[in-house]
Amino acid sequence: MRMQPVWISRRGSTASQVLLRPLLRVLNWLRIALCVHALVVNALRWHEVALAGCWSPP
Amino acid sequence: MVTWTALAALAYSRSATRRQAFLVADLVVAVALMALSAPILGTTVFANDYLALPAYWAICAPLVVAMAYGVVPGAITGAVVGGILVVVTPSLEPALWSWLVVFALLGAGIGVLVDLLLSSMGERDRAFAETASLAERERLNRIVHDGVLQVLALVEREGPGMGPRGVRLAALAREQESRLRVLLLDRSLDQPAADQVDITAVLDRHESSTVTISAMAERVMVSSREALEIDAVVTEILANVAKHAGPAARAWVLLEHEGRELIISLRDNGIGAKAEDITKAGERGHIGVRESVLGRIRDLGGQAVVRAAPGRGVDWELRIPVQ
Repeated sequence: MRMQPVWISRRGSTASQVLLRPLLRVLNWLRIALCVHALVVNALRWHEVALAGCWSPP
Repeated sequence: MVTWTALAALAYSRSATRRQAFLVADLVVAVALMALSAPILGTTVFANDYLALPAYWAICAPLVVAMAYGVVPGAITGAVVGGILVVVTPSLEPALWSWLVVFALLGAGIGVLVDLLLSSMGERDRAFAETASLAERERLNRIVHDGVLQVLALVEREGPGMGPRGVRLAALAREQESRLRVLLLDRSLDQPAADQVDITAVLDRHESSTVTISAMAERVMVSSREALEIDAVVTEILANVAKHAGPAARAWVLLEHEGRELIISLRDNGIGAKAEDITKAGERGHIGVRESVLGRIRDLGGQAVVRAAPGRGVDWELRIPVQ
């Protein structure tokens, strides 16, 4: 098991530089997409939460 | 969640901010949002579909951990982020437990994938470097062969006709030519790993005008410690040839690889000796034979056999087990 993130432990390796940068970029876009998905899901069930009385909209 | 998404996008896109502390913070945010799902949504609403407040957004933090640290940390952090829902709302509902299973599997899967990609790209880089170094060596070989080696060969050929100084010059040219050829054929340039050494490349360095090395074309990888020991043994035996076998003696080293055994035969055409004299030399405390040869071979778990007769040179056979 690595003690440091691969982009630090294998800083000199071309493989880690070439591979990890695009992978992290993809992950960033995935995070944004999943954030939008979570917002939509929560907006759609907003009225259920309000009806249940657990969360009062301001 | 929106703020954290923006922060993460910035942090992970720059190497200066792509730090361990941010990974930990990312995980804490994911776990906190998952843990707050039931209290914020209410148990009834949450129990409808067991869809957490950040939904699948929370998997991103374990995925970064899997990319950064590998399979096991990826699986563990995935299980922690997914499993926090079970801890906060204990239930045997399959939809709830699925979070734990799916997040752990995704973390492990991405870890395996990244490790595989990194190792295959590393292999590819090594292969490229090896090809480039071989191509460069061949280019230098051609240049040296057409220039320096031709001149040395000329000096070696014409020298003896120029009197005693010419003979000396020819001998020096022969020696230098032989060294240069060894250097040009040096197989240690393309060693695949630092802790593994090609023993054929190590033995090749002993090639000279009086020593001929014969080894197989393929590599024989041994640990660097074994290579050092074998090299020291061969050096000692060749030094003994130079010291005791007479001025005109030549030596031949043959390397063979049979199964899990390395066989090194060293033969010289010197004045020779009685075999028992050589073994007794060790018993009498001649450090060279006792420690440098027999001791080292014994430490490597191998055997050394010496055959010698007056006027017929000395013949060593070293058998060393290798992986």
